[in-house]
Amino acid sequence: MERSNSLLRLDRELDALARARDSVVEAVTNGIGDRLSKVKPLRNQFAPVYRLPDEILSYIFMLLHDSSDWSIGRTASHVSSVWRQVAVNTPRLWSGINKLNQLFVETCISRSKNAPLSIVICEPYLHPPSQMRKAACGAVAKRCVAALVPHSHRWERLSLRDLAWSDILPLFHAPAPRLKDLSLKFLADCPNDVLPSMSLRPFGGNSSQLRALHLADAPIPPSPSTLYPHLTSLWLGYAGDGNTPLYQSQLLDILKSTPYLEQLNLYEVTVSGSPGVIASPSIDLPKLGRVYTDSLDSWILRFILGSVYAPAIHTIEATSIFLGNDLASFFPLRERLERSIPSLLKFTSVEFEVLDYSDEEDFASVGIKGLVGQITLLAVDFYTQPGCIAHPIFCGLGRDLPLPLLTSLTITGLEDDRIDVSQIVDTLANLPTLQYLKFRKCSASFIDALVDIPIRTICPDFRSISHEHPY
Amino acid sequence: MVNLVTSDNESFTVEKAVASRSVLIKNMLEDVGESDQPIPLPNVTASVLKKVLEYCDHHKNEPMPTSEDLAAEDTRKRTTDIGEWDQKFIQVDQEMLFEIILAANYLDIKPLLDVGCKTVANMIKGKTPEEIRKLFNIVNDFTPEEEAQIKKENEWAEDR
Repeated sequence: MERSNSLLRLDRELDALARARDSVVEAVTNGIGDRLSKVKPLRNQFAPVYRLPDEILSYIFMLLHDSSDWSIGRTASHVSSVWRQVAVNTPRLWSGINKLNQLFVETCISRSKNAPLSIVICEPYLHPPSQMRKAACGAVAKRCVAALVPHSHRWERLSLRDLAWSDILPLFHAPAPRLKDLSLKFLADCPNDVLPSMSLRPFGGNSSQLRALHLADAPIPPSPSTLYPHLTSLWLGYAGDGNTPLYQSQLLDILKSTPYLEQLNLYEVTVSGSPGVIASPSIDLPKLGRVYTDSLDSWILRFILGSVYAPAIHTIEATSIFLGNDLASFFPLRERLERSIPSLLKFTSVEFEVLDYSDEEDFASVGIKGLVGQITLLAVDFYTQPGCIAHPIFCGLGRDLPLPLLTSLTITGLEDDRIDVSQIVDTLANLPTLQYLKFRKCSASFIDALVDIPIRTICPDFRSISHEHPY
Repeated sequence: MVNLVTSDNESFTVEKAVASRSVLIKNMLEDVGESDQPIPLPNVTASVLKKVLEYCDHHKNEPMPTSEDLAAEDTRKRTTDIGEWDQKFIQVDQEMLFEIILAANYLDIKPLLDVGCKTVANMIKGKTPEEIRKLFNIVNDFTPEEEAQIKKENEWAEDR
């Protein structure tokens, strides 16, 4: 009995000692922690990078932000206390909102102060997808939208992808006087009853700074929409399918509504209508410089090129174009061409180049560069599957693409298994003003055969033929 | 020629076109007019000024950025691209790099300041906070409150 009491007493004493030890250790640890928290900032003061004044550090962060590193605000603010202060107090670092997260959106809105906002949000990738998670994302989207709407006067860029219209609709009712760039891609559940009025006067009609409109698988607003009048760049993609056809007249009306257009991009656009139709009178697009198309029927491009008056066009790039049999399926008729793209008829020299022209390659490209003197007026590039692309394009020179002033033709990368000499001679017959014919990296057989042909009978002013690096 | 005197009392005699890449020196020269008086640079050591002058000499024939250029920069998107010669020039240790940035800031040589800042930006690019601390010999000195806030902010990264 007495022995067990002694043991109990000893246990209690041991417990008391352990408690005393723990409290001493805790006190020492806290003391060390306190001292460390005071010493660490002091230690940082000796780091060379700490010599940089806050405004320079802030400038460095902004350089990174402007180079598309939108996470630099978060990264820099997690390095040290001083860096956090600098990053948090640099509004521009928080002006890029690219996550569908309420706390993130609210933090960015608050820290960006009055800086213009770039909003790029999409539904997170749900794996495995489920209705419940989708609904949760929708609820988050609605809360983020609610946080963004009161700051619509700061929106500079609004890019929305893979979201449901019903979740984001309030964005389109808020005035966006600084909005320059609007991108809507793959937005689901388009509400038929709301969209017509929304797309006519989105943002309450207050988006006069809008310069770039990017629509992918999204309803195309009708031509009187307030979105169009000041656009310099229009990108239409995945448009005109069976459910929502895009008619020729609709496309022309849109082009008429964009008199300041500088760049037109069409990606997988299907237009319903007749290949022979073109606009009359021509649609005046004096600033249109670049036209890019991808996966487009050639007649649609021909229809557009024939329907506009675009004297400033300098680049036409057609990727995966369904070319038809010849260049005529791409370019409008000569008399129309004179009124639509007059620069095409002024070329004094043309460089015709076949690149990656091999059945082993994934694609072939043929480029036609037209120059007046040393100045490149127009570069047309066709990219498509390897095959016989070079043949119909080359044989159309001078015929489908009139070249009334051409004096010099440079052909690069053409091989004799695609075009024979007689076809080259036929093409030369359509270029009566030609003086110089230059081959580069072409089959040697061309020049061997051409020297025996009296080219002056078809090109009276012809002076010379040359070949650099023949195969 | 212009005579510049550093904080460690070393004298550099340089062409006016070279010294005038610094807006500070250019303004001083304009203020004092033709004079043989040395210009004191109390915030710059000789080793740093030597590097700065090497930069100014290489770029002496380039047009100076105008106030319009500088104003336009505020609205234009900046990049971290650096010219080939400038990249080689700025391959120095961290200590010297930050001294060059400070000197460029003090002497008001905006293009050199940009080269220095872009170099630091490129060093930071793509790194995690921990990697940045290691790079610049910084320690984590956040208060518990800041740590708690950072923990919350890290949840952003988990959302795509």
